[in-house]
Amino acid sequence: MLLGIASLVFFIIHIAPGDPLDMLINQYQRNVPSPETIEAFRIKYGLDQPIHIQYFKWLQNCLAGDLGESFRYHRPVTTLITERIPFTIQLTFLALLFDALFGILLGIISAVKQYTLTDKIISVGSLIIYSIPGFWLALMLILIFSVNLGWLPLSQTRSLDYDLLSGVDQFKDRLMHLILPVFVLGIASAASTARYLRSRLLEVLNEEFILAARARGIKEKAVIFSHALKNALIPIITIYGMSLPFLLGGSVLIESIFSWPGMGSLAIEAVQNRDYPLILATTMMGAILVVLGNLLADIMYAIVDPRVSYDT
Amino acid sequence: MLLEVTNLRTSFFLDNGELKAVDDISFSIEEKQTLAIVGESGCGKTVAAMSILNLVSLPGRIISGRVNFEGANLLELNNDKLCDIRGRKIGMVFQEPASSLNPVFTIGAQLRETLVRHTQLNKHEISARAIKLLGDMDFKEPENWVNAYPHQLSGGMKQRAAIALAMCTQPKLLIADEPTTALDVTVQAEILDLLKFLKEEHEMAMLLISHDLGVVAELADRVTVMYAGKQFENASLEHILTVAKHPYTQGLLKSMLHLDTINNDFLEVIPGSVPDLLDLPKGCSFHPRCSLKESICQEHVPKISLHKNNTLCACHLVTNQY
Ligand SMILES: Nc1ncnc2c1ncn2[C@@H]1O[C@H](COP(=O)(O)OP(=O)(O)O)[C@@H](O)[C@H]1O
Ligand code: SF4
Ligand SMILES: [Mg+2]
Repeated sequence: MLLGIASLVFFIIHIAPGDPLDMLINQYQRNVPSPETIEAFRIKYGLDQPIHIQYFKWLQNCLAGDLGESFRYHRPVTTLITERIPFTIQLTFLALLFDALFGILLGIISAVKQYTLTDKIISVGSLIIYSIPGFWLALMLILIFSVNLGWLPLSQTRSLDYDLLSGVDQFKDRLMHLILPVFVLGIASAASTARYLRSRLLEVLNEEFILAARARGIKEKAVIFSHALKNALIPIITIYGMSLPFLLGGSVLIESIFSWPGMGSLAIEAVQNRDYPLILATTMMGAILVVLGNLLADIMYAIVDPRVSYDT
Repeated sequence: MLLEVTNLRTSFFLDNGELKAVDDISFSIEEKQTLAIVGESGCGKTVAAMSILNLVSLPGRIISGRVNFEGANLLELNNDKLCDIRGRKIGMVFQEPASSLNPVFTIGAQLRETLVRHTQLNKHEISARAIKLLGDMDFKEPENWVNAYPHQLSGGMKQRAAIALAMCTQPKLLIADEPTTALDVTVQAEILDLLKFLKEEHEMAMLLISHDLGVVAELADRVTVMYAGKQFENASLEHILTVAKHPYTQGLLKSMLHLDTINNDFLEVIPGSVPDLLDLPKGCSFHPRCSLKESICQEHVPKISLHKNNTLCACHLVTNQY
């Protein structure tokens, strides 16, 4: 399946307008390389060959585990990706954590306080946040907190004087840089988690076993936090698995807005430079992460939900 | 008197009006006695039971009445005191065992939670007690079943687990809401026998809810008949089975006799069905289905009145000489 996706991407980028060589030439605006250099480049990367030959060559290398060399960086794309991927994982993981913490908290509050003002504020608020485009929110927050108030850094993962800072300050510095991207990336999914959990909790609270627990004298706190919450949270795990693609998709945008050196910004650069091997590799990585996320969600689901057993 | 319910009214306030699910019901249960509430489905029996435990939630509300249990009105107790009575002094078994057990906790976890809530036992004693409770409910190898999840149990076992939960602290009163209705015919008898045994063994009072007079006849000492939220009759079991005059009770009796022969075709003896509680017929709510009705029945609601032998009856035709 991964190869299928990559193959599709392979043909799309070759059909799409733009030539990697034009991009290369643009880079050297001041001293344009000679036609011979260009021709040498074309031959080196096999771009002189017909597309089907290129395809089969690429496929062959791919299966042998060789994803090729970036046109732009002249380094193996696998190296580039392994350099960048920790940043994306850091961002996505923290965004998921943010989502879990706030989404679940707000979901519980608004379900327990159903129909009160608090509930309405949370519901309307999460609907608004859910519908705000991520890039717009990112730009607004940058404008407010970085440009006007100057509380938070504009972009990047750390300050320019990072190396001069003490250990604690270095940690703080990284944290400050994480706040906005994590917030922007996590808030929309936190909003959808809150909305989902609210409706699911209200559904569960109407179930007969909740009534039965109350009839046994179980205190309301335990009824909500143990009986109802466990039932309501189980499907959330699947939702998480499914929200991973959206988070990753969102991170492409957020990473380039915040100049975050992750996979997302790498992918954007790759597309901008018509860096074919890199485009293919980042696409495949994205697909792998999505599949992994779903797999993880399935496994978690089987672990936490007693009704799912491995042998059926 | 262990439990005394007086003039209980519970309504659901819906968009299209007030649904009077329980409309002025009174009965009482002595210690060790079993009272049955009978009536077709949708007559307000479950709502009456939930009202006793003060467990009616919006859009429903208990409008008036008293539920005196061991001298205290449960409808006026604060929440903490109420929670101490629920599950400790009054146990409840629900109609659908499949939905009254929490699917994501083991049977043992649910038993232990209830035991922790209502007893001072230590951890070890609680685990042992949970196993013993299942054993008392005729589970073979209860030490294995405590670790099972509800979905791993058969319908009958689920109901026995639910009864174990209700019996955790040997309550003085057990409310059993159609405890056998959702089960296979073969299992029904087992559960009935178990309930009968428990009630005698623990000298427990019981409020049995059923639409089936056959079940009621096995367990009850006294019977209250409900129809469309109203109380039609309240008398001893013997009286109900032999001399009851209320046309609805007679219909139920006839249908009981026919139930086994005609393939469970319920209540075919009484034509028609329970009216919409939001749109009750004028006068006696039973009159469209009553073969004995007279013109007064369509105009005036029959008052419930006291007759000989401490019997209550609400029918224009049943007069004082009865
Ligand atoms: N939560 C609820 N909301 C609205 N109406 C309800 C609710 N629960 C019960 N009712 C109504 O109350 C009436 C009595 O219901 P119930 O007590 O369950 O009947 P029974 O137990 O005798 O079958 C029914 O008409 C039902 O529609
Ligand atoms: S009051 Fe009239 S309609 Fe109602 S049960 Fe008696 S005879 Fe039938
Ligand atoms: Mg019922």
